[in-house]
Amino acid sequence: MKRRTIIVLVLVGIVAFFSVMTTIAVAGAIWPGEAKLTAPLFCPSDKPDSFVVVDRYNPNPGETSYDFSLYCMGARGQTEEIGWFRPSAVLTLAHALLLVAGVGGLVLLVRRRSRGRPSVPATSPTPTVVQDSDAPFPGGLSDGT
Amino acid sequence: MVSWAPWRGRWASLAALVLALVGAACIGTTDRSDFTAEIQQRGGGLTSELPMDAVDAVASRLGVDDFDLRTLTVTPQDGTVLLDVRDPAALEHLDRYVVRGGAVEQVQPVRLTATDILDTQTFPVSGLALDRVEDMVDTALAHFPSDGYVTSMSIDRTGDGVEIELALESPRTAATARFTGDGELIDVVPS
Repeated sequence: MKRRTIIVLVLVGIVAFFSVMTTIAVAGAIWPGEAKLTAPLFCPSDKPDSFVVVDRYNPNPGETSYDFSLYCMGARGQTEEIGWFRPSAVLTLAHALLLVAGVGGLVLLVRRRSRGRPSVPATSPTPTVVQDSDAPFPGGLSDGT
Repeated sequence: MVSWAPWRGRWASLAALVLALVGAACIGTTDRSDFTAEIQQRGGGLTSELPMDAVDAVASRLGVDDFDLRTLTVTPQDGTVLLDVRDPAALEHLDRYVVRGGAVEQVQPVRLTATDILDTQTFPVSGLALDRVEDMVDTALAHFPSDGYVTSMSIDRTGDGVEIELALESPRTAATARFTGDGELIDVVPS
């Protein structure tokens, strides 16, 4: 396998890992309502209002688990359950694109800045080294004689 | 020398905020009870789509355009439609179809008793005004308190013919709206 292919595969793996982790952290814990952003992809025209419905369970004392599901609702209260997997898949893809765009943009910005700034100024004086033949270390320390 | 003390405080605040958000786990979500209340506020969620999709699914399963029913019950809350269907291939048999989301989930035979006479109990599904469900719901709710909603619809054959019944509820009362098979209101009977 070519080295370039390996690098691409590793990069894809890294992006996939971080986008999945972002989806779990954001949509699965902090902001489940993010799934409503995917509603235009799944909700039919007669059920345009989206809801992320949460069911809370207590499987054990002191332990609470949450189930999220995206629903679409119409004007008469008719509903359609979309579930959680499909919105999560779309969000993961969106997070991956955001990640690539963000990191790519950052890399481009840094490269542009470093390209615009010269590494050694053309007018700077060249440092000169004074040689002292009596010094025990040439060009360095002098014993004072 | 760089002082880390202010940053430590900021990171601690940020971590506390993230923990609080994770603990809350509710940004942008709707509780199940609030969701149900929203459905009820909009009228209960009964439309023509549920029974018509169910009839289409059963007709497709049976490979016919029309078939006979003994009862049809729609519960919009969970999107379930129950149909007691007379088997077109064996007219002495009755099967119960459970349809959810426009797909047949389950088919079970119904055990008949000696008093069951299917010829007098069943009716053709093509004669039902299933495309007028929205009109029936609006008519029924117009004869009911303003915060009412429909909990279910059932269709069966009575002595006078096929009858469509809508079960109505509100926080303070309940009633049944009766319609003909054509979708014309007969009466609204308080429970």
